[in-house]
Amino acid sequence: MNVNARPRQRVIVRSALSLGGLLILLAGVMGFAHTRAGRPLLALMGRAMRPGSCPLGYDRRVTPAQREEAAAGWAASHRGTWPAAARPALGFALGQTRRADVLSTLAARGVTCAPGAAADLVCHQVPSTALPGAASGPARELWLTFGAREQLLSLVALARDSAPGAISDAFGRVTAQLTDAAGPPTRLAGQEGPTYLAAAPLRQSSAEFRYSNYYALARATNMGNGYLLTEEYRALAD
Amino acid sequence: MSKAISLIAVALSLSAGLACSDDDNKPPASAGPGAALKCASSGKDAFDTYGAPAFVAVNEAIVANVFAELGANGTTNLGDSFTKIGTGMPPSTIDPAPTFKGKLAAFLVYAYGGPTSITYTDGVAYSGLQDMAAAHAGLGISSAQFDYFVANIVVPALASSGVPTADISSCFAPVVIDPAFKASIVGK
Repeated sequence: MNVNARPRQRVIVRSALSLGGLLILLAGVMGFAHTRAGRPLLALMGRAMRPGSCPLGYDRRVTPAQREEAAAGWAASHRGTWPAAARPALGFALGQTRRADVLSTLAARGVTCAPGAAADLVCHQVPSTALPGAASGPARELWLTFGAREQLLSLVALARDSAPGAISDAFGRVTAQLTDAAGPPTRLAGQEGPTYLAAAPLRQSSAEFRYSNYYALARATNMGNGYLLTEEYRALAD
Repeated sequence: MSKAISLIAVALSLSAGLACSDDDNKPPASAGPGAALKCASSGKDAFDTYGAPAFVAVNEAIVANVFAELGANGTTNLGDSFTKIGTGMPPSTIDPAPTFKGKLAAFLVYAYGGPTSITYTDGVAYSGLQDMAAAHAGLGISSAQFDYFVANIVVPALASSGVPTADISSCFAPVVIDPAFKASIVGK
């Protein structure tokens, strides 16, 4: 009995060491694969799933359902008390307009959109005239997010101009339009007018609209080398 | 045999770690670009005006705003660079979230007139001397995403931390709106 015990112990120790070594090797290979030099190896490992992707899925984009769930969490901390009279979003209907509707509406006005590296849909240089419900102003870049049923969840528009008046006036029109359609702003910051905006870099004027079913924000910013108007329109799910 | 496997594994792990540590070997600079700026409220630079606790608050507010934004819109507005933190894909994102936060704080402190390194709230020392181009390599951040980040994440974080408008413009803005700073981040 004692004669057989030592070889058995030796086998167990060797097996454990080998297994431990293999696990460490695997960790090392995975670590190396995530370095610049290891990218070809990563691509090779990911070929069975998606070429060039992380086999562990760290770089996988969130699904529309996951995005809806996350948006619901955000809504809980940004929701107002009363429902908005309407939920304007540059002429699109939050929660209803589908991706195909956006594409066809804008295509009919000569605007093409494409899936962005991060956004669901990105549309560059969209003139106000192409957006049926938009206040007039400089051309916008649109970032659109869609939910699991391809319904529009949120719309962000950025417009830049070198003149403070162009952005300040557009900010005033957007704010007035939102007030008329949705209701009064729930928070105002800064002052309206090109003089205030142009006075110093990173000066801002903003109007926030928090309702129980809707969130909107208009913000004009002096970016130092130009002026930026940000518009955000979000549906808040129940 | 198992010893050899373990050695190879350790060597590979070390090579991975070294390949991803990018920015801590720069020669020290005497002062950050914001050291020469004077806040309207005090006539001193931002770090001397507000001190370390305020910089921690601003840093935490920036990170909170980023995650609130990611929660609301996913990667639509800020891009996917923040969601890559800790993944190592691309290699510039290898730092886990706590390290990222500590490095961001150290950079802000240094950039606005503070010391070249700090010990953050997690008890770890971080250097503020960071190569922005290397830190953003492979992220493909667009000009519009950068603008959105400055206007809708950074400025609200400063304002919500109690920095008055006049100081945001006088002693914080010039660093952020510097075209060279933007160029070191966008399109890398």
